[in-house]
Amino acid sequence: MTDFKQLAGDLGLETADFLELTALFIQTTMRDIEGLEKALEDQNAEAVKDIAHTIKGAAGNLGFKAIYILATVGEKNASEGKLRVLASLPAALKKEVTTLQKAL
Amino acid sequence: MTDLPASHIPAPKELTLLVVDDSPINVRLLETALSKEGYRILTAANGPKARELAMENQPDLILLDIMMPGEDGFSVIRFLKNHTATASIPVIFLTGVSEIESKIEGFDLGAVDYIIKPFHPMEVLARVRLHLKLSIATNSLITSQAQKLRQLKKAQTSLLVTPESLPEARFAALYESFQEAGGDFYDVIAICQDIHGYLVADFSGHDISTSYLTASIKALMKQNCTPIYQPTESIKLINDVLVEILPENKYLTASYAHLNRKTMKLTLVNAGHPPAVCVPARAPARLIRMDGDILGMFRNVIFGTQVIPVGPGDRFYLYSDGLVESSQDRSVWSRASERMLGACEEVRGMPIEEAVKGIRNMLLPPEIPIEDDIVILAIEI
Repeated sequence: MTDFKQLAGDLGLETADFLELTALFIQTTMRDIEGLEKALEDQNAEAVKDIAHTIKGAAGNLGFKAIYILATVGEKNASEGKLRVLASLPAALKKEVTTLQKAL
Repeated sequence: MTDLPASHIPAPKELTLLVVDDSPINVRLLETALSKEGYRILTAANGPKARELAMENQPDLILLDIMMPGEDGFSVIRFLKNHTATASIPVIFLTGVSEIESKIEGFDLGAVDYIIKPFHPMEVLARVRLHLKLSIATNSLITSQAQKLRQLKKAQTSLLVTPESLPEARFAALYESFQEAGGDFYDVIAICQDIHGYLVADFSGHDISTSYLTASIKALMKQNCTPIYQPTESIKLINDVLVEILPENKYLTASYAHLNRKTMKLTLVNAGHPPAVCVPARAPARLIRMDGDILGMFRNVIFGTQVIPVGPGDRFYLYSDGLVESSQDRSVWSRASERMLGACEEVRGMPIEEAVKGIRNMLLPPEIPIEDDIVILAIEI
C-alpha cells in the first residue's frame, strides 16, 4: 500500500499537495504509456528512450520506486536499441500506475 | 527619533524563479515546493517558451532542464547568455545522473550549478537560496563599483584645468572619456610668468588605478615642472617617480610642451606619444615626429626633444591616440597622424576653442560612439 503521507513528508510537502501531484502524475503517465506503446509498435527506439526518460524523472522525483525502476530499465534498453525485451513494459507500467490510482 | 510608519518601509522585492522542464510533474513539484517559500514561480514546458518568459520577466533565477524535446537546455542557456537583458540571470541545470558530460558543458555555457534528477525539492530550495544570495551580493557589488567609478569620473574631470582658469596660457582643450574612469589626461601649468607647461598623457588601461594615477601626474607636474629644470629633466624626474609607484605592466605615453613666451621658444618632449602638430601662422602645418621611451617602465630613458622658435599666431596641437587610432580601420599613428595634420590645417582660420571641436568631428564622426578616450589640446602663441 502506498503511504502518501510518508512520501509527502519525505519531500517536505503537505499530503494534499502530494495527492494533487500524484493525480497529475497518473494522468500524464497514462498518456505517456500510450505513447510508449505506439513507439514500440513503430520500433522507434529514440521515442521509447525519451518517453521512458520522462516517466523515470517524474516517478523518481515523487518517490514511486517501482515505476522509476521500470522506466529506468526501459530507457537503458531503448538507448541500446534492445526494443524486443521491452514488449511487456507498457503493461507493467500500466499495472503499477493503476495500483497507485486505486490507492488514492 | 520617532519610528517611521510601517507604510514607509519599502516592501522587499518579490523574487521570481523560472522553472523550465518538459515534465509537467517536475514543474508542478517545484512550483508547489518553491511557491510555499514566497517565490513567484513562472513555468515553461519547452525552450522557446522559456526564452520568451525570461526576456519578458527577467526572473532572478532559472531552473533549466537539459533534456527537452526540440530546443534543449543548452540552446536556451546559449540564448540567455547572449542577450544583455538575461545574461546575468543565474541558471541552475536539472540533469540526469547519467549525463556527466552535459554537466561540464552546462558550466562552460555559464550555468552556476546543477541538480541531479531525481531531485529533492528541499535540495533545490537550498541551492536556489544560495545562488540568489550570491547573485544579489554580486549585483550590489557591481552597483556600488559603478557608483564609485562615476564619482571618480567627476573627480577626474575636476582635475582638468580649464582655459578660463588660466587665460594667459592661451589654450583650448577637448576631453571625452570612453569609460567611467578614463585613461587619458591633460594638464596645463604656469611655471612662472610667461612660461607654461602643457601635457597630454595616455595611461595603458582604463580602471580605478588609472584615474588615481592621473591625480599623481598632476601633483608630479607641479613638483617637477619648475624654472630650475629643463623640460626634459622635468619629464625624467616624473618618470623616475612613476617607475616606483606604477603597478607592473602599467605605463603611459605623453607629449609635453614647454612654452616660453619671453624667448618665444617651445620645447617639445615626446615619450612614446603620437607626433604633435605644428601649425605656423605663415607656413603649412607639419608633424613633429620624434622617438621617445614610454614613461613609468624604465629608469634610464631617452626622450625625443626639439626646440622650436615660435611666432605670434602659431599653433601647436597635442592629442591622444584615441583620436587617430581606430580598432575598426586598424589605422596606426603614422598614417592616421597624416589625417590629424590635414584636420589641423583645415581649422586654421577658426578660434582655437572651435578648432579643437572641428578636428574632433572631422576625424571621428559625432554619431559614431568613441572607442577610446579623446584629448586634443591646442596651444596658441
